[in-house]
Amino acid sequence: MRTGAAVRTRLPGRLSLRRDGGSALVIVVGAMLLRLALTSTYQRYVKPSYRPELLVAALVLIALGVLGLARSLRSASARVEPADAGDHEHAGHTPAVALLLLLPVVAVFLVTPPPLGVYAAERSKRVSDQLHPPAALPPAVDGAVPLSVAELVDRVSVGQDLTSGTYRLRGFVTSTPGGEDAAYHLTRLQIVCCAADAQSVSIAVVGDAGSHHAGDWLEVTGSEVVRDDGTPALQVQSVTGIPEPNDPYGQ
Amino acid sequence: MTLAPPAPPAAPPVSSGGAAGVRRTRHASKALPVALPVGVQTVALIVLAAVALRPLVAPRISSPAFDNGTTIFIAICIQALPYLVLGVLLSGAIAAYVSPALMARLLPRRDLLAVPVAGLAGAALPGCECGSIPVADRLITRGASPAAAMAFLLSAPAVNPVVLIATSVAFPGRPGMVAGRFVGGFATAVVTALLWQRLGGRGWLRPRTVPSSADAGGSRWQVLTDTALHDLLHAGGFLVIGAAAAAALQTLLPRSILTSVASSPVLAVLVMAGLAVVLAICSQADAFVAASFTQFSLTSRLVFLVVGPAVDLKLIALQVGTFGRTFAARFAPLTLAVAVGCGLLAGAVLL
Repeated sequence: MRTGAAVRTRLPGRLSLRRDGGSALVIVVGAMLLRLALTSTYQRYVKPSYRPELLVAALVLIALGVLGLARSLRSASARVEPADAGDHEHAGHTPAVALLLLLPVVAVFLVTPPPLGVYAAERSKRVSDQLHPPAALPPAVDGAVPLSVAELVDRVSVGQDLTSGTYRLRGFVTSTPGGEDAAYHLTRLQIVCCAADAQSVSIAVVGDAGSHHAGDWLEVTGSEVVRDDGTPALQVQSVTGIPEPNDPYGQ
Repeated sequence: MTLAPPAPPAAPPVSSGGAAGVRRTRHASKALPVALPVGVQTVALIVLAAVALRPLVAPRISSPAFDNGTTIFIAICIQALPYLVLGVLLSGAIAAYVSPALMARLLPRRDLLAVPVAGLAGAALPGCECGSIPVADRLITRGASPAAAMAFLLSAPAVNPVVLIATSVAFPGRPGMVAGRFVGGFATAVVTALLWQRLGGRGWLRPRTVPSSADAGGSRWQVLTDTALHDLLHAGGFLVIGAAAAAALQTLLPRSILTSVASSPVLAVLVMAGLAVVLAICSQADAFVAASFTQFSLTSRLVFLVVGPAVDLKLIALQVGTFGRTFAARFAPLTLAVAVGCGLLAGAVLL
């Protein structure tokens, strides 16, 4: 053991969270929620209808943090031990674990993780809950009926015959297992609550001579055909590249 | 608080920001040459650094698995936060407005009655399980029987109307799944709570002091906001741990394993129970995930739905933070066993 010079413990000193640090932490978590909810970025992680909850939570967090900061500043200047309403043994200090709250904050501000894509699509396939023949098809726009991939697949699975129409679908490219006739699949991910429950639905695409990379977003117009194994496929009439939509898990 | 090995130079902890009134004289920390109290300046610095470094770092970090994991991690965090905020606000309100005397009047005195009542009351708290933990904790410190508080904690995420409706949508034409989930979830809450009490559960909780907030002269508003902030900071870090674990496991778990076990009835149930713990999916959404496991029997999927809201990585982490490691290490396996049992029973009767 060294003498004289400062002896370091294995951790760089002892981390502790002061009252004002804890309040600041809560404020930045609120700021993170605010940043996500005010833009459409939150839709990468949770369902679009969740925006009000995120905004309210953000404001409450920021308010709580500001109140906490004000109180700790007031008691610091008054040089009086602050009266604690908490029942923890270490009054005035919170567990250093709370610092982990910085992890999601830093992740969002530093990187803002992208929406789930090909990797997730390959790992979780959705099961249709369609039991009955659905309502009438929506009206055609510019010569093709805009449908979601899920809806097309569901309608075919309950026996509706769609081979006579033209449809316009959007999705991203996922590769087809080798040896099949389809060049690729057009895929969408669906979420119920948040990205953790994401499930994919896809339809095979045939007749596209162009080359695409996995993960490319496309708008495909074509007619529906039935493959040898009975699953539906989209026979391409036209393909356009599109930018990644704001609601990645929408229709 | 803990003692560090003594070192020759005795230096008081360095603190920035002039909170001199809060600094305590700790003889033990004289031994530590370096202490890093994290204050508002440090937090602000870290966040500003993240914003500033973004153009440098963002384009370089990318691999499909990493992206997947971090996206799910953030998703679980921000999906849970509003419910956690609601929970700590409720906890603060209880701390500020419900005295132990009022608590005694609200709940039946006998545990055998109080536990089912609390279990049904859980149905009134909507949403994610994260909010129920601070509330249950506060109920205990306010004098509610711990068993009743645990029943509330377990039932709230399992039997609220949103969850039941979601289950009926995900399993159309199978009311047995909805009924099974309600009965199984309620039974899990009641049986676990009563068993826990019988097994001397009170001793598992880390020792707590009843807050004397009213005596300390704070206004009710102050008690509410102080308590909410306190509970938030105590739970928040653990929520992050649970979310990170669940996201990592979900990203790294090869789903192909599942197809091989689906055929064996015993393995199927165990795997579904294990998945429910590991995936940490919110109770409003897990019905749809369960519906997608078509190779698995309905009974094993019912077990998935009963286990999920009662015990998963997020909940375990939050319980460690709120009630202590000893508690979580014993309560989680107990809940898991009871949930599997109740799920199987409910399945046998209703499916």
